[in-house]
Amino acid sequence: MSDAATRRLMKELAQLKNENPEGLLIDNTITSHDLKQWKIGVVGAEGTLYAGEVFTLQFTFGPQYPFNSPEVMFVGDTIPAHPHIYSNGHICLSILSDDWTPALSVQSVCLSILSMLSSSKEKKHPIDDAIYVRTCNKNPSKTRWWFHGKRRNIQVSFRPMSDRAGFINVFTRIDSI
Amino acid sequence: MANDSDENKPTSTAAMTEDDLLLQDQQLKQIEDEQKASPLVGDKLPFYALAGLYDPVSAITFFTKANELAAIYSDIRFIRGDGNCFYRAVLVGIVEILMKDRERLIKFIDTGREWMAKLVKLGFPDWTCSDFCEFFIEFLEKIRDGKYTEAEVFQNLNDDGTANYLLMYFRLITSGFLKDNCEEYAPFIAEGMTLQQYCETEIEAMWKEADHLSIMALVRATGIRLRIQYMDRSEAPNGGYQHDLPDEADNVTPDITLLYRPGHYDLIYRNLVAQ
Repeated sequence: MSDAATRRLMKELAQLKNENPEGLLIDNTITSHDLKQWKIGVVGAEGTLYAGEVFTLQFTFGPQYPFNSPEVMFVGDTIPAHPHIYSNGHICLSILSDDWTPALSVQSVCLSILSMLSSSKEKKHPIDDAIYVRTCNKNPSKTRWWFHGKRRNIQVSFRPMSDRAGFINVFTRIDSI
Repeated sequence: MANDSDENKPTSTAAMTEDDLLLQDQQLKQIEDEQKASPLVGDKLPFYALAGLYDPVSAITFFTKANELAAIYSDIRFIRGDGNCFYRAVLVGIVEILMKDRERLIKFIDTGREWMAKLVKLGFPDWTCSDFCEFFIEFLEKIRDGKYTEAEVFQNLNDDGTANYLLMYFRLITSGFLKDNCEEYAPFIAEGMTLQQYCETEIEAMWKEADHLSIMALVRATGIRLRIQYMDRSEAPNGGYQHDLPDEADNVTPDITLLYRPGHYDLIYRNLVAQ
């Protein structure tokens, strides 16, 4: 961890404890001693398919955080079934890769994921779940997502400054985020 | 030579195989390693160091231009070509001015506070943006209070974590300026993207190069007078083309001069004796 990253993460943690945002189980947050990894509980919002269900999000921060996005995935026994969440916990969400900006935070990522859950109309993993889970890298940041949104043409997404060693999986996702 | 142009980035993936992607990744890794071999902000060097980068035979156009420019400019500070070079060159240029001009420094600190309030009002994520602004203001306050020597200031500007925090302030006010003047600037955004999206993906994200719109916005947001001295292969008057921003500031001595070579900006200094 760089000094800047540690300083920022300490501030984020203090901020989260102070604000205690709805839908996040801040008191149960587990952080590694160097703050490199966090596990945060999130609760599905009332009136949605996931109402009251508790899931765990795992954040892993690199030394270049917040300039590079954190690696975020669901872990634990219950992975939410959702058209953008694979059964191994990997999440297809553009702010976790090419739409990340340093102005985002752990809190805004959690809230985006919760809102993604809330807008779901069916509890189902993505159609390519089986093949993705069998072949993907354990690290979701190694996946190169292609977002086919309205706002851009087909465009490969990659993060210019991250560690790019290792195998890269290529999956095409239909996404309107 | 540093290069952070878009040329190496793919625009279409339609025909790419996994092997292509792996190869591309290796190439990117190599470019990244080359970038990291040079400091974020180089020492001030005599301007003829630039001509030394070009072979007088195979790169005659650039070599000749570099020599022509050496009659006008005395020094150059190379900036790392990592996609942040425009913002970083402006950051360094401004900090250099502020270290010498106390009145301007105090004013710049005040403007920093105003921007912090304005960004929140414009709907930027509250505390993360304030965090970047506060970091920048504290840095300037330490200069004001004499807590940093000049050498320490440059140490900070060359430390990844610190320097990127400072740089983020400039990205945020660039974006803030455009959002604040949305009606004026929205027509310049390419179709299929809103100004908001443009700001988030092209300006607020690190390692994304500045284009004309963001350059204009940062100049206006900071109130600096900027000269861009172009050096490319085009036929140009002796010494090449230059462009002053804001536009109405033509023929006024600029605060900061940047040298533009295709895809990259460095900081250059006018030869005061020749003036």
